[in-house]
Amino acid sequence: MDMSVLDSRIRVLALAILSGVEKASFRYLKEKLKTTDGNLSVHMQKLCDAGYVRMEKVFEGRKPKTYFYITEKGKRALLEYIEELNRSMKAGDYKG
Amino acid sequence: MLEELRELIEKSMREHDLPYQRRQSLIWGTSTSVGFIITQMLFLMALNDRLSGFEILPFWFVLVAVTVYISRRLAGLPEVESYFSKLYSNFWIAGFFAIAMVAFIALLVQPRYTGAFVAPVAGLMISIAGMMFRVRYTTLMGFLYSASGIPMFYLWQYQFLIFAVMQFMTLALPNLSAFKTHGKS
Repeated sequence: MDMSVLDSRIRVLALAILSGVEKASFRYLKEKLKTTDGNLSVHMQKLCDAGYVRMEKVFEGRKPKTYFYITEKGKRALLEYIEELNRSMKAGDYKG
Repeated sequence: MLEELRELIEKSMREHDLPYQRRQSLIWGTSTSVGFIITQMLFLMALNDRLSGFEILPFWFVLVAVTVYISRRLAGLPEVESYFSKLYSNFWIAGFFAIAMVAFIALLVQPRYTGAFVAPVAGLMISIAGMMFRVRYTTLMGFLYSASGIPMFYLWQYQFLIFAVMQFMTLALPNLSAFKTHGKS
């Protein structure tokens, strides 16, 4: 599993939000993560490319709406990340 | 970071798109109120002609189908669907089945008092929904809804009118401003 995808704080937080929900819209994630459209697009694309997140485009009337779902691989990666963080904290080498 | 992650996951599990929920309530509250007013008129006409309650059912199938279509067009889509929202929608699906069952049995046994049997069940569901969201108005209206079964029993000729008033007051009235900010970003 390529954990380097989770080097970015926004990507970890996006994955954490998605792990608690069935699905979330792009707009919802943007508001929660307090980021811009362009920035979030890049991060979500990286999560999709890694297979951690699945994207679905639907239409709300004439307007497109993008939903994101966390995948099983994404859930495993997040768990692994949290475990790693736990280990680092116990070892005392985590400064964040 | 670990604490932040934990809080974020816990919070997102309880997340609910309340503005979307309010739009849905307004649409369903209004449409069912109109439905009950029409049912009341049909019912009063049927009283003279010995129309059974079952003949009003197809009208409700059409009304529900039209409301589903309208709510999809007007209320849009939710921004988020959490496990809580899933639990909430499953709660209502189960509730509708319970209400339909009670209505069906009442129509078979005591058709005159169908409303008096259905209102307490519907009111209980509404109260539970109010408690889930910690909305005092909805919880209180749920209890009033249940209690409306008493006037429905004595004034059974006007039971659908009472239903219309209760539906409007419970679902539509508190959400009249639900569409004010919809579509504006």
